[in-house]
Amino acid sequence: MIKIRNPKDLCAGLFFMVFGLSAVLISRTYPLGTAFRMGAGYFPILIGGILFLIGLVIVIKAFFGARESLSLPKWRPLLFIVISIILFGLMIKPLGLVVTAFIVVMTSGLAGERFHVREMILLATVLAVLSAVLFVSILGLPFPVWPQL
Amino acid sequence: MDIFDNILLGFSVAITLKNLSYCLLGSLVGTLVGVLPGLGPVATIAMLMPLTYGLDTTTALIMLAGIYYGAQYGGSTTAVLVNIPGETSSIITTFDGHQMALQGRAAEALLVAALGSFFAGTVSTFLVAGFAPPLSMLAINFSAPEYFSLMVLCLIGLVVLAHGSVLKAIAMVLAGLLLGLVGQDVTSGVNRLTFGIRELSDGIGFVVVAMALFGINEIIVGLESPEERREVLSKKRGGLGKWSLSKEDFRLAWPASVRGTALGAVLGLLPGSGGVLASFVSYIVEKKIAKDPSRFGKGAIEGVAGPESANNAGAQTSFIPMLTLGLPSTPTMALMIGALTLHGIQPGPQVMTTNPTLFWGLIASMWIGNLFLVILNLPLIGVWIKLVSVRFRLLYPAILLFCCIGVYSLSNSTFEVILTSLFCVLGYCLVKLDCEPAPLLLGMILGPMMEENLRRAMTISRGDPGVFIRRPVSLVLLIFAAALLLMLVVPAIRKKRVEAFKE
Repeated sequence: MIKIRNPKDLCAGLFFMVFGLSAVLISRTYPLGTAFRMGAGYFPILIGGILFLIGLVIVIKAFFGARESLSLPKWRPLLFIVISIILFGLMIKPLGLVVTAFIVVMTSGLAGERFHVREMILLATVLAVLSAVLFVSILGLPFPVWPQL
Repeated sequence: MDIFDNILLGFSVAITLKNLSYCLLGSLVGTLVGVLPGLGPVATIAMLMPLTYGLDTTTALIMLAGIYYGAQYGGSTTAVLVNIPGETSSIITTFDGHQMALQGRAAEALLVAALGSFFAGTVSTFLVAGFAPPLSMLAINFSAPEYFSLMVLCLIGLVVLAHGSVLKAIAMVLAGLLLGLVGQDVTSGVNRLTFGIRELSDGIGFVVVAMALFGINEIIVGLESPEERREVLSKKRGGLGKWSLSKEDFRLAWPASVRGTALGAVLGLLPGSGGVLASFVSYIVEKKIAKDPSRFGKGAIEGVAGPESANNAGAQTSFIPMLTLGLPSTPTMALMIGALTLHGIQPGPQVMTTNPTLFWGLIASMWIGNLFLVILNLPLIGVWIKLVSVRFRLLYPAILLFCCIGVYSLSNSTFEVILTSLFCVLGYCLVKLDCEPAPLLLGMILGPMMEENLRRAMTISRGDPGVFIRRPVSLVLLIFAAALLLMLVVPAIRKKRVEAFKE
């Protein structure tokens, strides 16, 4: 059996293959046209096809190239940062900037190794007030500041 | 009109109270964010973009340019003071700049960096002013085949100059091109690759991707490594040193600065490099021609003067392809193009004739921005030191919040914020798999342009791809592209490239 020597290349290659292939498959439903008069599908199929092939080469390389190991990522920072962003998106309209900023900062605090409660509450309060003053009062961005009832 | 009339026109635009203050504000805020560890110019510009929405186009662009120089400059400051490069192009400055700081000569290092950058900025402003008009005149005659070949050259240059694996860089460019195609097709009106999501028919916002891949990703990566202790230097060692250069230092520094400027001005034109490659090559050159190369890495002043000048010259001349051709050569310029488009201006050679005040005002403000940096940043160095020593765990929630506000303010849509979180996950995985994000971002900007020009070229030639070879300008560009690719294949050069990026 052939051993995988570079799992990083394998994953990256597979990703590009899937990406390219799905672009080709989705674009098949668009009018293709001819080289003379290209339809909406021509360019994406062309690029998606090349991407698929390059992905394939990267996958093949993973079995023969230099050895490298893939370290498992820490999940905590990624998870809490992503949750914070999603929370911001969902809360900004109904709850307004001040409350949203406070909650987002508190949530993002969980991404760190340790959570200092008092420090985070202070930081969240300062940032909530600061962003409302800076972005809404001074810059005039059309954000709701307080919860919309 | 000759060049001096143009520059005068530029200054008359740039020296209004409004534009001057936004230029000042931009370079100040840019430095402020640039000083923060991990945030380079791309993240800084993406994050601060909302500050410019309410401004008119010229003022907005002047401010963004100010932010760009400021962020660059802030990166050098941290490189000298705490050995942390704020961005890739100031990695070189850590070698000798930080050594100088450890020897109690931090002030001299910062001074030489500031003066070198200012000299480089002055020279390259004139270069931009001198070269942009003829290039625009040339480019205005370009039609679709030339543009397509130019973009091919641009993308290949990008791949050659990218760090790490070439194959992965090519794949990232292609993935970027595909992402750029998402949305309504301009020619046929078909919604492409949108998965039936209505919000995607306008395409994926480049600010969303830039913010996710460059700003927020840096936070996540930063959180993964244990918090380092950043000791503030001035307390540890006997102060910053004198704010003056000895005759000997000056004698060593000025030729290095001149050489760095020349190198930077030329290399800044190359796609994908900006200041990074320039500062790099300058350091190697200085080390090669020095009488005593062993001084390098131990606080040689040329090792700061050369790369810093090169870096700044490159940052300025990378505006030339953007202003004259409407082509982004670096992720930063991609954002500038995005800003222009947001303000309803189609970037390209026609900008110089249709918006001369914007064009020349921007160029004049480049020089003013550089001047501001010198006169402002040296006195403010104490403030920057304080900022550098702020703990990361207090910093990153603020950066994240500002990124969220920035994305939401693009079009007040929850969807774009959610999309940002998706790109964070994607970007994080790609970085973990050693795929550089810069080619993806540039591919995204170029995607629709490339398709449009390919289509037009093929329609002109009635479907014959030979048109790219028959047109002389297009042929030359393609030969350049092929030569670049060949460079990658030739083993000797390839080895050099690997060494160059490892150093």
